[in-house]
Amino acid sequence: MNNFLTQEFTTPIISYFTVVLLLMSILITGSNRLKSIVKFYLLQSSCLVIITLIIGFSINNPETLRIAIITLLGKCIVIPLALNFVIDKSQANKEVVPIISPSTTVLIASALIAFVYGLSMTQNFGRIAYYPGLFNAAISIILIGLLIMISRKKALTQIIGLYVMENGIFALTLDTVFGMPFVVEMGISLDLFIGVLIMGVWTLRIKQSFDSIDVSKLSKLKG
Amino acid sequence: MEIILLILIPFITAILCLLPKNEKQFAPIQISGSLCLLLVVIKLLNNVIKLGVIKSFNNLVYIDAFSGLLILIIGTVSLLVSLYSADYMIKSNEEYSFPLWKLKKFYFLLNIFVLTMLTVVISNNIGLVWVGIEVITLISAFLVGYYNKSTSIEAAWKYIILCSVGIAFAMIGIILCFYAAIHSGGVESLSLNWDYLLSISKKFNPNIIKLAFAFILIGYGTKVGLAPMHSWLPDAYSEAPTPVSALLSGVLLKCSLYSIIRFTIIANESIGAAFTNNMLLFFGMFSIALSVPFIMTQNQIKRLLAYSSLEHIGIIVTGLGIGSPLSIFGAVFHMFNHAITKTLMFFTAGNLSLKFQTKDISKIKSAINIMPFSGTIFLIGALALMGSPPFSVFLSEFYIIRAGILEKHWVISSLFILFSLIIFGAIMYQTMNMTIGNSTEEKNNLREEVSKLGVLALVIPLFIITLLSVWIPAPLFKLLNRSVEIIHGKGIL
Repeated sequence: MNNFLTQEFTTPIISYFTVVLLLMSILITGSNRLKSIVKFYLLQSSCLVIITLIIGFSINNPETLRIAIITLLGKCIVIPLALNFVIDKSQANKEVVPIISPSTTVLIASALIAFVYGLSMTQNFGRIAYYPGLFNAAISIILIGLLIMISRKKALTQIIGLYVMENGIFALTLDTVFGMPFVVEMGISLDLFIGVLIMGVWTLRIKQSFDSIDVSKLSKLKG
Repeated sequence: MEIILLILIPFITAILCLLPKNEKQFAPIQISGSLCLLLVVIKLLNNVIKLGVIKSFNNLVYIDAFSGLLILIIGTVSLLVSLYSADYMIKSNEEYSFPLWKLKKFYFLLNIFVLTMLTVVISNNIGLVWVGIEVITLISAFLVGYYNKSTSIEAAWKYIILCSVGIAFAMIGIILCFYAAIHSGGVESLSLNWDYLLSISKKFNPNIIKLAFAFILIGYGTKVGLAPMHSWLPDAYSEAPTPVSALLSGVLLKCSLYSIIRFTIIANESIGAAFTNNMLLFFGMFSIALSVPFIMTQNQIKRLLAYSSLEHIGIIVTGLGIGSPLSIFGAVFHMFNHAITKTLMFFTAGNLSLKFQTKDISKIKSAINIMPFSGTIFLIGALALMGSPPFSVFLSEFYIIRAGILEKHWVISSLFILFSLIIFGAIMYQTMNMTIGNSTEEKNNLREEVSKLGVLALVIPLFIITLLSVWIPAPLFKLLNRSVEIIHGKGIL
């Protein structure tokens, strides 16, 4: 293999980007403004694209490169654009009263990351991955995505939480199996594009009939 | 050829349903479309029974008897739904004074919904099955929120968010399974095909497969509505238009269960059946147990049926979890029976709530006098649903209990019987209150008018479940027996 991107060479680079990934998810949990949350999401997705490219070059796999292009199109262009459009339409830039305050959420998120890294040291479950750091980060990001979904009231933040979680799953795929076969990856990306559009439509409908996008008002159906 | 038609017919029907100029023209298009679909399904099943397994399109399509059973359920229920919606949707559109394009949207989405479910059950690639199930969630959310009231928006939102999170967990399970496959020497491009996975499953790392199975069960379990991930289910079923509730409960639930069962087969082959059986038994019994208090205190007719769906999912999953050929036969037979019976119940409940203009159980009185036809069938259907003979649900539940006792699952079997008895009592009490008794309303302004198609939509399922209780036609029996062979490795004969 006459490839200059050996694992010794790529590991530190990927570690840097892994740190950015984690940082972005912490920033999302600590932010109140929806527009900046979308920006952080955009940055996180761009990091993922770069990691995909590095891994793709290091294993010389053209499929990984195609996956990187689709991810760039979807996660860095279509999804942020759609989210920004919905934010403008629903005139809801600020999360006024979240269920758990941003500062507490940041603390919980950091604790989650520490927990996952600590667990991986004792249990060594990172051994199934090529880059153990990225693997741990991926698990942490999935958990942080769930945390975002339960700690915020706005419909939009819930969508973003879901997509942060999806980013974590994408990183997990990348790190354990170098990405799914192309057909499947294509289907998943298509799903995400359609998903953000459809959930955006529902957010606007919630806005229309409840006069805000606060999902804690959705509590009529019980029992 | 049949496979192409299977995909093409719902697609063409969906496009044609955008054309009509008045509301009377939808029914002929939709009904002829689903009749054609059912004919193609029967032709396809004939081939499946003859050949055993059909593989085509570069290994993307894989149809065996078990997928055949699901295709049969989809075909039958979609025909019933087409018959029923002809009348019902016009009436409910008048009630809400919706414009014509709402109906177009309804029929278009309905057909796309059926189309995606068909692609899920004929697909060989577990990754594409995942994609299909997520697409179904996104499409059916529009059908759940069709009426655009605040409650239906709430139901649709809960449905879309909870199911998407659940399915994301299932994705983790699929990744783990893929990982296990390529690290035990599997070819990467084939390692998501379920027939290939099954053939190499002996070599998998057992710990990873256990983890993967847990993720898949929780993930797709959310979509199936297994307790405790069921909280979206009663909301979505009660707020959706009745034909959609029937499809959600009768078919979609089984499609999601189908993906769990497919994965259970791989896991069983790899790590033995004990682990998966215990997990399935736990979730199955928990679902049945959790449905009991909600059924007893329910005051809304469609929510009552939704919680009864929760119970029946529990019964099917428990049947699978007991894990003997007889109980699995009961479970797959119950999948079919529940689809037909629950469709019948939703239809009659829809007629009742349309007539009385309410979903509130306490406001529906004396339905037998006011609506002699729908009221009577509602009462009979409730008996059938609770598993009293001579209806087919009785048979399948009996097989499951019998297998449980033969396998010496004493606690499970006795709890199963206890819960079924309580639910029988609770639902009979509610149904009696609704159907029998004197009405306080004036009779003459509440006369029933059921169209011929509406009558057909109720009589056909009633006929099917009664017939199946005394005689299972040979092709259907072969299909069921082969499904048991596929799931368990050995059939009941």
